[in-house]
Order: sequence, then structure tokens, then C-alpha cells
Amino acid sequence: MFSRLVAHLDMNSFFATVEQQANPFLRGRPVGVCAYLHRNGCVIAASVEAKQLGMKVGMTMQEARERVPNAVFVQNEPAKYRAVTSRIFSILHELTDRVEHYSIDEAFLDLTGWYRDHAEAAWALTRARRRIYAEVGEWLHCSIGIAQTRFLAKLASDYQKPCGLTVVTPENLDEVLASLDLEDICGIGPRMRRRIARLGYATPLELKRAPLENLLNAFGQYGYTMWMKLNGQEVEDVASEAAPPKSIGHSHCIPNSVNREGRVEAVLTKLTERAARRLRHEKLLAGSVFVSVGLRGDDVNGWYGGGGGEFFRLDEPADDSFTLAGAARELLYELWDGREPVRFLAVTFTELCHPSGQLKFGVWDVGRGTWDVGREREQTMERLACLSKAADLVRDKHGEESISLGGMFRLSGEYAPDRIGFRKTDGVVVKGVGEKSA
Amino acid sequence: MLSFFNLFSPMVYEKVNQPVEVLAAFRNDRTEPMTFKWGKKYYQIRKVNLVHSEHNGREKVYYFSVSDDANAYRLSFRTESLKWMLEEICEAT
Repeated sequence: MFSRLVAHLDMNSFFATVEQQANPFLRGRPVGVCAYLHRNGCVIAASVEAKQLGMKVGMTMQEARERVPNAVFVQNEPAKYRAVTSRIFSILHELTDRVEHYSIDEAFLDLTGWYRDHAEAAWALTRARRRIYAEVGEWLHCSIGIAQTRFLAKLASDYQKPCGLTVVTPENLDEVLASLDLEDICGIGPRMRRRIARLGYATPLELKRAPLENLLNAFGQYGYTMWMKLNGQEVEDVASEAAPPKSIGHSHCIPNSVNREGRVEAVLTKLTERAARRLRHEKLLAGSVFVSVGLRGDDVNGWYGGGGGEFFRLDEPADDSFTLAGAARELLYELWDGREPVRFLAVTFTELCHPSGQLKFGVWDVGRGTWDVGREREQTMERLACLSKAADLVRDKHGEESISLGGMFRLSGEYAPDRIGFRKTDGVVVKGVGEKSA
Repeated sequence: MLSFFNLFSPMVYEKVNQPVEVLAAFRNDRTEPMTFKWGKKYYQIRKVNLVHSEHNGREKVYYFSVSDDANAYRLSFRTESLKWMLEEICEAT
């Protein structure tokens, strides 16, 4: 009998299988889903068939094509993936009240109290998987792991892919760990593996059996939590409430046409506006703006041209597009002379905070008989914030391209498009629960 | 959906974006396009593979990824204007 029951559900090769679900002629073929259909565009998902032939996530489209010549490459469609995730998560929310939307294709479920034991939980999740096949799509495969902790549940779901269902119990934990490599463990990469090997531990099982003092001395808190996790002790709970974002941003790989037409600043303004809209949607203010610029190099791929990033801390946290776009533009020209071709642009808002709701009063200037400059500035900021919110209402009603800042005038909708992130579940709407964002 | 295909690939995607006439069934809480007429030709839909929706402002657009024995198609239905469009066609040559 488990004291706790945690399950992890992982959709296998998610974006690629959604594309194969939508188009049956892609099934059984190697498919790569790319961020951009350009030779330097990154493969963000590969189908099971493509993975078997050596295509890996993170390869450029050119590298993937050299590895798998008969592969079909498709551009990602965020709305499609969010819609599928929404339907899958809606099914999972019928199993328990505690579901953590870990990423666009992964969820943790705390089943404690809802099912008597792991066998009953496994049966419920198998039925949920059948519902996913029947109600969402028959080509959508998922791996399921059940254990007594969040960490072991994820380890279990990774154990058999695709379509596996693995239960890790205290009885079979050693057997499972003995069959794994150190780098199969979430949180252990090549560098950490080398450091662990220097202590004399070569497998996860040896690490589990290692004296805690050794790991504490060598790795500090990391060593302690890793030992706890491997020994089936809970160190992080299933978080059914999404944590507020630490940063909000938007980035875009700039095509040559933007440089030729001199629209780099316009694209930056659009990136800022898109990120600012999300900021206002989250009801947050940005304390600082970070702009990153990548310049096009002379090499074949144009990658190694240099560039950099700069911060700007705002006097007062703001959420209006005018203030944020102005700060971003200033940063752009600190980083870029306006002549060299730009390859990549990114805008990130950090130091996010909620509006305090406090009113600020200016000082009455007796001599001039008016409020002082500080008060006037405050009023200007308020007007800009109201204007941005009014523009949001227009977009809510008539679409994203219906109103834009002057700096974005005549900029095609294909620049700074909607992006999908693995760890982002913005826009995933669960039936009966509402919108979840993480 | 945009797609890159090379000489070895048997997939040909084509953006269409043209209005079509659609015969649809409303059953089991679902809407299923059955047949559509594009140009002068009728296309019998064998399977609705995936349905997803997207908001464009207030308007909700439903996308139906469908297929027959030869090709895959994407139809869209705009809820404000009640118009059906053939968005794209993928020919599995």
C-alpha cells in the first residue's frame, strides 16, 4: 500500500504525433516539426520514426535533413497543440482535483485518496489513455508512470517509451534503478555524471545506496535532494496551482527580408507589444526590460556574427506598450549600429510585480499654481496605460492585427508569430477549471 | 500548416484559402463535415482526424483536419461569418 500515489503522463513526440494525427499520410513517416521552415530552423519535435533514424530535437533543419533525407518537415502550429493539450488535460482533471500542468505535453497527477492502490490508479489511467485515443486522436500516444513521489513517477513514465505504463514501488525501485544509466535521471547531465563518477558511483542504484554524508559533502543541497529523491522521499509536491511567471518575453529569428527593408525596429516593437499584451493579461507590471540582439555572421549559416544583451530598469514598473517599446528601442540602438544585419531579436520583461494599487500625489507648485512635473508624468503614464488597455479590448474583439503601434505599421503578421514553448501552458483551457498558465 | 519537402519526399502541401460548400452532420455533440465542393468537384470526406479552434478577436474559427483516400485537407469554419474555407490540401503523391 502506497502512502502517496503520484502519476506522470507524458505525451510521446507530442508535436509530431499531433501533426500525424491531423494528416494520416504523415503516419509511419519520419516527421520533424520546426520552429521555422528554414535551413537554420530548429527541430522542436521529431516523430518516433524520425528518432529511430537519428533525428534529434535541437538539430537544425539542415542537419536533420542530412541525417534523414526522406523526412517531412512541418512548421509548428501552437493553436493546434494547445487545443489537443486542453482536451487531454480535461480528461486528466476528471481523475483527481490535483493536476499539475508541468508542460505542454506533460502532467503530474496527485491521486492520493482517490484510488486505493497503484493497481486501481493504473486501471484508471489506462481508461484515461483509451479516452485520449477515442476522443482526441488514435495516433496520440502517451507514457504513464506511477510511484509514491513526483520524481519517481517521472522516472517511471520515461522507463518505457512509447506507450508504456510503469509502476515503481519500494519493492521494485532497486531493480528499476539498476537498469538505468546515471544520465537517465532527471537533473543529471554529462558534467554531473563525471562529478558523481569521481566519488565512485557509476549507476543510479549505487547513488541511492551511497552514504548521505558523502553526497552532502560533495554536492551540498543538490546531493541531499538527489539522495532523497532516489530513496523515494518526497521533496517537491504536485503543484496544482500554477506559479506566477518570473519573466515574460518574445523572440524571433529575423529573416533577411527584414534587414533589407529596414524593419528591424518594427519587428522589435512588435515583439515588445506581444510580450506586453501577455504581461497585461497576467495583470503584472515589468520592472525591467532586457533586449538581446544576435548579428548575422559571415559564416555559411550566418550564426557567428556576435551580438549581446542589455538591461534597462524602469523608474516605475509599467505595463503599457509605449513605455516598454520605448525602453526596448533604446536598448536596441545601444547594441546595434543600425547597419549590420540582425539574425535574432528577443525582448524579456523581468522583475515582474503586481500593481500596488497605491495612488501617488504630486506636490502643488505654489509659484506656478500647478501640480509639479512628477504629477504630470504620473498622469501621462496613467493615460498610456489606459490607451494600451483600450487597444487590448480592440484586439480582443477584432483580432491581433486590428490595431498596432505606429512603429509596426505595415509589418506582416508572419513576423513575431505566436510561439509555443514546452514549459508554457498559457492558453491551455481545461473544461470546468478555466485557463491555466504556468 | 507550412511544410518543407524535398525531392525524396512524397508530400506536397498547397495553401488554398478558397471558399467551399460543405455538407456537415451535427451528431453526438460534434460537427462533422461530410462532403465539400471545391470548384466543380465534390470531395467525400472519409475521416475527421483532428478538430481545433482558434480565436481571431471575437470570432472563433474551427479547423477540421480531414482526409479522403488520396489526400488530406484542412477546412475552416468561421463562427461570425458562418463561412467554410478550404485552407490547404496535402497531396500524398
